[in-house]
Amino acid sequence: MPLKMTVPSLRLFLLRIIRHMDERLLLVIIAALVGVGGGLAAVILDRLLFGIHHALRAMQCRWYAFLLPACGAALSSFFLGYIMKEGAGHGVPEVIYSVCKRGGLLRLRSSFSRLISGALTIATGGSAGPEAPVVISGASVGSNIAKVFSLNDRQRVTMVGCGAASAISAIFNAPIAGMIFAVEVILGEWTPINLIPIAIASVIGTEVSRLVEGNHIRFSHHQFHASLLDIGAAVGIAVLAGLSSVLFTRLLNGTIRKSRDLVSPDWLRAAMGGACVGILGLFLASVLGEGYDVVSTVMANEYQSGLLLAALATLAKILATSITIGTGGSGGIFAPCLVFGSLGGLAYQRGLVFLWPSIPWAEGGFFAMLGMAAVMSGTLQAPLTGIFLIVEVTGSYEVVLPLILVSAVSATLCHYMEPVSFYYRDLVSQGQLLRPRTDGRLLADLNISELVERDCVVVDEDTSLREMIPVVRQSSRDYFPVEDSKTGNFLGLIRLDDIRPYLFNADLHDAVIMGEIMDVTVPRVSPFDDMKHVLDLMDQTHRWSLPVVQGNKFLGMVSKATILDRYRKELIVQTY
Amino acid sequence: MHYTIDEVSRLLHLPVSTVQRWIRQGNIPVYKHEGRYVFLKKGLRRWARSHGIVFTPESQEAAAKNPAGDDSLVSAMRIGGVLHGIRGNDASEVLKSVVEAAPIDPSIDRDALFVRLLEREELSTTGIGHGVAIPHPRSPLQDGPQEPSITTCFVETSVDYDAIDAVPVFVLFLMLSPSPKIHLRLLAKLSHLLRENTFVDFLKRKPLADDLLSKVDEMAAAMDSSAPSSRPNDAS
Repeated sequence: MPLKMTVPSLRLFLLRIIRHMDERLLLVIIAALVGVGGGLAAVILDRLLFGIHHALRAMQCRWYAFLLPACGAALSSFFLGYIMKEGAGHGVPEVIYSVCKRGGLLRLRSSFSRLISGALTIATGGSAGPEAPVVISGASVGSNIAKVFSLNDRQRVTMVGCGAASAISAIFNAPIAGMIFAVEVILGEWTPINLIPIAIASVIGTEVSRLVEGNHIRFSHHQFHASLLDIGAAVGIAVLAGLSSVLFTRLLNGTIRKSRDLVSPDWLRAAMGGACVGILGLFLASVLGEGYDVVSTVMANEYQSGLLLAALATLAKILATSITIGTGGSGGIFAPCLVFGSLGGLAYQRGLVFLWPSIPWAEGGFFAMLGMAAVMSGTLQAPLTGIFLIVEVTGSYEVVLPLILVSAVSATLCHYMEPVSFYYRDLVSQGQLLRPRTDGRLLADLNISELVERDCVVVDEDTSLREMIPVVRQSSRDYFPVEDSKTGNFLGLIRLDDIRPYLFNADLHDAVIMGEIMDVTVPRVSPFDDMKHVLDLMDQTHRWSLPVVQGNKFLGMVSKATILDRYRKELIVQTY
Repeated sequence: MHYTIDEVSRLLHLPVSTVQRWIRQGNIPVYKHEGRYVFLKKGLRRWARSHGIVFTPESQEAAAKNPAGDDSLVSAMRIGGVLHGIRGNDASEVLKSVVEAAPIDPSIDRDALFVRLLEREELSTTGIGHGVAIPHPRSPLQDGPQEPSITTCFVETSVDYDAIDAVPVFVLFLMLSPSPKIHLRLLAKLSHLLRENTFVDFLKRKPLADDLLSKVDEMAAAMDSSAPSSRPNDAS
């Protein structure tokens, strides 16, 4: 190998190696690289949060402290909107959109933009989580590494999953939760091809964070002792947590809608939201920031507030998060869910003790943990992510049974009341949530220009029935498009069935011309039409074939028979 | 060793744009060779088989495009050959000697062929008039010929063939086709020739093989050129 190796020639050299490598091995190797990137993104954000938070510590005790979240949110919104020119969204839906619609393509700048905006929002006191920013950063790292290696869409999507998995694994020190989150929420499919690289990325991401930050369980606690009665009481917390998840989702969606109508400049809206949260924080400090310290205190049974204060803090955290994210602050809903889940769980335990003081209930930390799992499962509608995340961040495998129970109950309840989770809401309303091997995905992949059949024999409008006979004889199709003899514009359609009885009637041979008998009402489709629309049109008009017309010129026919053929092939090749 | 995108799109009966999209999405195994996408033949075949996708290799592709190769009348008649002096006192005897003398593919069972020809005659006569008969089995033979053949057989003395115009038959065209489609095409061509009285008169002189074939060649060429132009409007 020559010593003076330029970057393009290095890339060519790499590409040559890649070409001769087994796909699975290649994906595992690239996944390891992505895992390092995702892990670093998590570590960087963690350090940024810590740094900014400490720099501002002096100001946090002053009367004007409520302006800090306002400034942070405004700066974050300004940075994203004007410098990075990216939407204010919190990240995860963008990643899912890219997976569904763009073959996992993400911009390189997304790999750091949300880290900065997220740090600005959260470290100044905005109530949001650092997970969404690290997810989009990790995913963008994965997407761009895939681009360097010239991977195809399917492989790139796997790399996006690897990035998300490694980021979540690293920030929570929870490799299994990272894997599950990537396949359950981000990719929505579970195959041997994508699972193994994602597992590798999770391992590497976690290891990176352990090397830098040390290996410790996020919310450690001493062992819980849960009786059968506690497990029965867990159903109650599942229902309450499910209801508060629904409340949170609706409040968040409502804030997004309403605040857009009220204030139009993005930065001003974010600033006002930040100020509201800041004022709330003057009274209840636990609503500020990502709130990991609150969860730690609750889990360690050191949170001193009673029933009412805990319940109030739960509601305040839901409100603060809805305002922060709903008005355009940058951050995710993971950490807030953990905070209000744990506070809600604590309030529930205090309530139980208040009502039945003679029963030896399990301690507050146990119910707080169940509350977190139930809220996570309900809000994300991803019960597996909820279960594994909580098991890993609390290190409490011994109480996995009630954990599974509350997650299942809460997810079911939320699904019943809010069928679409917050992450998928916009995608579903725009019909963009296209999971692999679903009808929507197949129809989105097929397009008219690939399906158009161009072997029709076109006739002039003044063609007589006699002149049609040789045309019918040589054509292999039942449809004959009619064109204007001067302009060549498409006028209508002749169907063989319509003229068949008259073809053998010699009296009519010169008396009938095609311009008179063609079907001018036939709906036309454009080569850029949505397949779903075309199929609906066929069903509504009871037709099996429609003419494809572009700029008044006939291109060909599109038929249900061809659609079925291609649809099936598409379904087959999307299956491993 | 390799297929190009164009070849694969033909083999899979898909537009090139679909194959390109599949490459982009990673739905089909492909390699880059000198800046172009190529498909390993073996790998692609395995992929098609494992996905249950119908995949037509080239040789079959060519066969499907032009079933059984050349379907011109002259080449079928050349394969079938021309026989003179066929003997027999009635239709059955004549057919028997035709089947025995015809230079047909050795894989064909002559007795079975004879039985099937008789079956067809019982259904309705193949004596189409003017002393001409076109005996053929009702459906393509199981182990039938790969190439269509027409054996021209002049009988020594005209026989009563129960023809539609009751005129005794002096010539038989034994037609064996690999498929109904080719059979129909050849039959249409042959009967078109036989509509010309000059051709029937020419046949009555019982010409030798070379003369007959060159005459058919000449008439077929004239027929093609006088046929109406095939496309009144361009379909493109």
